[in-house]
Amino acid sequence: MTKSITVLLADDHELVREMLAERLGNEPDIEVVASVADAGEALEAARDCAPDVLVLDIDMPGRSVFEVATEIRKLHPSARVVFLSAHLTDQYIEQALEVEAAGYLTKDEPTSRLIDAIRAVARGATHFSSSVSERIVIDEHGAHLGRDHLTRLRLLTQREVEVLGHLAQGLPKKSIARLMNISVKTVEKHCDHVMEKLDIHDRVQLARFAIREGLSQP
Amino acid sequence: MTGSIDIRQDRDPLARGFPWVWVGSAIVLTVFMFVGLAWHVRSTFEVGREVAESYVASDRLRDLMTELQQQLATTAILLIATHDPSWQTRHLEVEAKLQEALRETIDNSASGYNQAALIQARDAVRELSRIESEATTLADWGEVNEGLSLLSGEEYRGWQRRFLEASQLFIDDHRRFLNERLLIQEAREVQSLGVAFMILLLSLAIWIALVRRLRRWGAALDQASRIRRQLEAELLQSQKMEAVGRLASGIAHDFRNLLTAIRGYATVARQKIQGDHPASHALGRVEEAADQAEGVIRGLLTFGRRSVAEKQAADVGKLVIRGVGWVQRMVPASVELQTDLADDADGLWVLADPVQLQQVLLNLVVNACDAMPGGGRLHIAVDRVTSGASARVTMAVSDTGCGMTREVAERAVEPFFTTKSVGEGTGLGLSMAHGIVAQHDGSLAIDSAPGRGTTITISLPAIPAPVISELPAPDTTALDTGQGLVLLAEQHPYARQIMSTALEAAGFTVVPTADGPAVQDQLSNTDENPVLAVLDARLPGVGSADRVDWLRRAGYPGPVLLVGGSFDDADATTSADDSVFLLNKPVRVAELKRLALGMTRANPDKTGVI
Repeated sequence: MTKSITVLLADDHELVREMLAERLGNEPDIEVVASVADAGEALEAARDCAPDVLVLDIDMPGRSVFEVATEIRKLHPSARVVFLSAHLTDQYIEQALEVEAAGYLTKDEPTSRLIDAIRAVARGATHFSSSVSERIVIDEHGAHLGRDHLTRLRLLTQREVEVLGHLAQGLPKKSIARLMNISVKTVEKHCDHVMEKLDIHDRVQLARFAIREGLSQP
Repeated sequence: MTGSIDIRQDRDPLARGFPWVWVGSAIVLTVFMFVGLAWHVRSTFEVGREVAESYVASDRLRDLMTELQQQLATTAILLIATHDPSWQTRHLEVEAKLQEALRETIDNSASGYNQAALIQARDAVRELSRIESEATTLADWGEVNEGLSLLSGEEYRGWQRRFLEASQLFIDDHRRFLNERLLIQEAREVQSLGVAFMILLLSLAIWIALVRRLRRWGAALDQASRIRRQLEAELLQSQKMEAVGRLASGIAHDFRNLLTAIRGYATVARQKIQGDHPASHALGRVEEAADQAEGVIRGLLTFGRRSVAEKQAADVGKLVIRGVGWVQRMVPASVELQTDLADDADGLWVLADPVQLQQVLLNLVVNACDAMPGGGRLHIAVDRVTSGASARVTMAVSDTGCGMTREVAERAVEPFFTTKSVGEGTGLGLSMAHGIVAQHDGSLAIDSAPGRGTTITISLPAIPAPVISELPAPDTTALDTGQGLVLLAEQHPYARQIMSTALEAAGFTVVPTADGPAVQDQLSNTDENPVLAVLDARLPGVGSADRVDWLRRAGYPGPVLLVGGSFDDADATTSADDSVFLLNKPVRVAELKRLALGMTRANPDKTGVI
């Protein structure tokens, strides 16, 4: 008889978690050994039962699921991690690739895709949603999100990002200079660089960009 | 809905600093003017006083000289007539006094007196004294009449006349001198008046400049205030849309979780019942409803920019041309569709997800058609707008429909806001368009008025046309599936897993290896001949210069995909070999898959020849 793939499920939505546990439990080669509601519990459960595959929801309260995934992989290097999320963001994908996730699926995909993914990663392959896999690039350091998709915020220095945040809040340059303990001329220089790098030349668009990037809270 | 305010013009007009130079100049000019005026007042009064005093003094001198000369004549006559020695003494005193007065006046050159006239007067006095002396001598000899005749003679009167003329000349010249001095002073004052007038003009110019500067400052402050208000309004709108977007995303996130459970349980239930079970139909309806709900969630997530965009260089003009092809089917016959694509030399390129942009076009066209139930004209225009150093590509969709009120236009992009009848629209079309455009760093503007139709313009940052205008679409029908064994040699374990899975997904059987010896083992032990070798250019255990030769020596003659960070001249030589392809990292997984399929098709005769 083929050895069952042991799976740890972590999702804060009880209905989803229970449905997945039941659905996976119906598969002959998959055994759900733990079903938990947050990343911290997942770490504890992984210590106890050392599952082959961890299915982790990304949007859970409490500890960062990516940190926990890293810790679990240190404890059990052979453990394979499949991330689940309700929607995709560049940040999620980049972080998932950083922790060398074996898979990444979105919840709008049929559950059968998750079952396929569990089987694939259990045998050493990877399994990503097509919208994720098409954006993965291989470089000298492993696998990452393609640079075309990285936010233009990455073009700015930390100092320029700070100036952009203040500008988006509507602060005059004098106040920004005072806040950052630099001269007004330096603030103006940062502004010019920010506008040049982002190719945005008016304050409204800058503010919108900053809001979109989470630099300014509405 | 959007504005374009150049931040570089939005500077504090008062931030240039206080004009100390102007103020300093004004103070210096004022001080100079008043000090100069005081000096001129003093100088004028001084000159006036000196002239007046000199005038009186010269008159007195002339009177004194005339009187003394008369006294000389009188005393001489009386001395001759009376022989009284006291007249002799008196005569000598008067003569000495007159000579002394003349000598002093002649010596005082600073007084500006006419020296020549005085010398002439002095000579006349000497001649008169000589004649008087001769007359007294004659009187002493007893020839009184002859003496008196000399004093009344022509010569004596002549010298008296000359003395008087010299005195008159002296006084006339002196008065002329004094008048000239007054005229010089007057000219100097006129000059000073001119300078003062110039200073006054300069001061006026400065004041006028200050007034104009104040007006400019006022105008700049007005403009800054206007820009600020506009900025705040637009920022408020952005923040509102952002908040609504977050709310929509949050709802969609939770709703999708519930939907996952619903769909999952429906599947579980379907597994547990027979195909002709009475509940089967109901389960089918549940799944159908869940699929529809999924569409709503996708729309909400797109509005909240929680969908991912596969951005690439895209020509909006070509996208519209392609889009119009299938959009035409949705446009009623009563609506006339027109397109207007700018013929810009720089192209209409943007960095965007083509699928999402076509989604925007579709949504805008659907809305436009819905606004013209009785027919009308639908116009799609694409243009490139350059402002300074930045350029944008705009796509405007206009209709001649019923239009919107300002209130409706302001809320048009809010999710679930619709003016359509229940069941005719989700209220997400424009929201999704807004979300997509925002995700592409663009803006969406609505220009509409009731009865005047609507124009919705999206604007995206333009990019230069790529060197290769458009990659040819891969022949997916021919390249869909690969077959055979692929030898994959990649040192990085995670990258190896992903590459391996991608190649397997393409239909290949993959043999993953981590270093040179493992490759050699695989080549010597496998029964099946690889159709392709994908080789990491920095694979441990393989020389850096002759990787393909090394592979050939290991017994593999087939196509090689050499993947690396950088390649040298030796690699360039290697690449001349048709069966070798150099691929620079970073490498897209999708690209790897396409290349593997293409290389195995292009080299069928070179594979499997071990």
